[in-house]
Amino acid sequence: MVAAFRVSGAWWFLPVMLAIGVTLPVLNDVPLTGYPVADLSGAGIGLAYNAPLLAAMTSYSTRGWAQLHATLRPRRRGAAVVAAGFWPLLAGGPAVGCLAVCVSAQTLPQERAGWLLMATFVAVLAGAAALGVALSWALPVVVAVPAAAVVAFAWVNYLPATSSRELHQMSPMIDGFATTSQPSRTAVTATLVLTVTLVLGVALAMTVTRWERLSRPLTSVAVTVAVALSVALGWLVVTRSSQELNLLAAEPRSTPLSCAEYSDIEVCLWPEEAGRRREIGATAARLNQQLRAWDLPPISTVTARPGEEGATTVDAGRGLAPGPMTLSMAAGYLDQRAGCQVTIGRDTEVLVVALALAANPAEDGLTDVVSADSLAQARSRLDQAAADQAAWFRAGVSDLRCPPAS
Amino acid sequence: MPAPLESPLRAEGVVFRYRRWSPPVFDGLDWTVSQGCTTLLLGPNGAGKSTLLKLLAGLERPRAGRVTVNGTSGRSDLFELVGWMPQDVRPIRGLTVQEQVEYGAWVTGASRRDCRSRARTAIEAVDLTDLSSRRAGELSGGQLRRLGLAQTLARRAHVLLLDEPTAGLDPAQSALFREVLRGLTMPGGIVVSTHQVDELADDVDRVAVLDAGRFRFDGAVTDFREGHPEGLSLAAAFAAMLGRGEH
Repeated sequence: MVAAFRVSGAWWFLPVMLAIGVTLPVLNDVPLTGYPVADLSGAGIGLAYNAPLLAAMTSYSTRGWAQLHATLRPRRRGAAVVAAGFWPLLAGGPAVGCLAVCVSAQTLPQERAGWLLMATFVAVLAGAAALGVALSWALPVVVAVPAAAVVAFAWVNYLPATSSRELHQMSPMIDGFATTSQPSRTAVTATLVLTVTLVLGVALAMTVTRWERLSRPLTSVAVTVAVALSVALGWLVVTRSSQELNLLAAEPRSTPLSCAEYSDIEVCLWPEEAGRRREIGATAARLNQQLRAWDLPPISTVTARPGEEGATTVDAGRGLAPGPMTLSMAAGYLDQRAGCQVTIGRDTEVLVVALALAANPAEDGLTDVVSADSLAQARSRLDQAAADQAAWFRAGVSDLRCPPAS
Repeated sequence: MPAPLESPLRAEGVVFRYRRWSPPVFDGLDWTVSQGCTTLLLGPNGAGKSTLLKLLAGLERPRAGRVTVNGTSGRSDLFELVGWMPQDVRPIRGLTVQEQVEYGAWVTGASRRDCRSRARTAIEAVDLTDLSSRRAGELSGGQLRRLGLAQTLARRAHVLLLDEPTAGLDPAQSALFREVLRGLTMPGGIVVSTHQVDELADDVDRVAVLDAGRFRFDGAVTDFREGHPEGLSLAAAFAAMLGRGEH
């Protein structure tokens, strides 16, 4: 057991992987939102380096292993021999890579989407390790090690940089989505199918040999077939999917909302935002006072899930100050009135700020997120007589237009 | 000690060439390893000694004919019953002597517990007990050969094939290796391929001379010396045989 750590180099490599996985999100200022899936996904940036490094390391560690075993005349299968010598790297690499993601995200997966994301990360790291072993098996070490690093790097880092929606779904870097979305089923399935096929393909190719006499062209063919088959199956999953593909590889979040009632207002938030329910209910109640004064329908439901009919959407993510949260609720009210997500132009922004100011006289944090000009205009509107304020606001609301459908 | 074989390790009508269109190394070679004896396999460079040992060990497959042991010609049986030590014994990076010998037994299919006891016995047999916890990569050439021998012994084979085991060793290491070899007995026989003819002359029972893919002599040491002036060394007798084209 200890010997396998020495033979594989895992004793020094795994701590390096952990350090890189934990440091990279910090260096890239990846924010923590409190939404486990988004935080885990953001922390997954560590895979950008860890996957190619693991591929190169397994390739380097397993160099000459097949040739060595030719002289040992093994009666065990090649896959068993590789597993016995390198399991700390093959199993430990994915485990440590995921540990680093959880440490960075400061959370564990708490819902299905989170577990699927972690499964994707495990599979991608396992796939990178399998790729390294396979290339080392088929090619001379001077070619195999850089090839493993470059292929893994391109896979993890280049695919999300392309404009191809299909390729985006086949990369593990499912990133950049908000608290309202989660990794798309298509992306997760395609990445899992691709990586699992690769791992199984390489394992199968090695299982059918005992390494007593290897033909390099044959091993190269076996590896090429495994890689090609995995990519083809991943592509098939993406192209056969009924889901609309996007460049974020994300879909609307499916987590059930946690709802409670405050002053006749139903407040429905994501589970991680539940602690802000009272604050958000109170803010909605203050907005309602103003809305009633302006003779407009009050807010009856506040929700964190966008697009719910008859409800006002709010962004109540962790770390979002009361000011911006109030602004998001004010904008959500305008969206609700318009029946769509309105484009926030200059005039609309003044409406949003004016409504938010009515509920938040402390102007807490507003100055950081809206222009000074909009703030000044909104203030001057609120300094007018109540009837003029109401007329101006109602006119603004009735002028709201939905953006043309793309 | 392994039980005796029902029938010896044998090459029967073996035809072998490295490539399809290259000239044959062996063309219908027959040879039987004498059970319970140590045989010195002699031959000039390129005679096919290493190739023959690889064929007997199951590492190479004959194009025609077969290699049998215990009456079967399965590669798995050859791997199990025939131990082979190559000229180039490679240390496994990161492993100690004990671990490498254990590993050599493990790849043959032995259980981990069995491997430990086999390794201890084999390391003791080659006089490497004091170095058993040292990294294999730190061993000298002579120690590495003994490690290779221990690794081969740990397989619990019935026949032992040693390819140039003392080549490149200094006299002290070579003497130590011969000392170890002298203490070994294998029921299916031991075959030692070497150029250091006289060094091993006193430690072997039989001599086989291979030249250009054919055996020119296969018999007892005393028979080999017969016909040569008294006091002529084995090496000189060997040279004389090749030079005169005897047998």
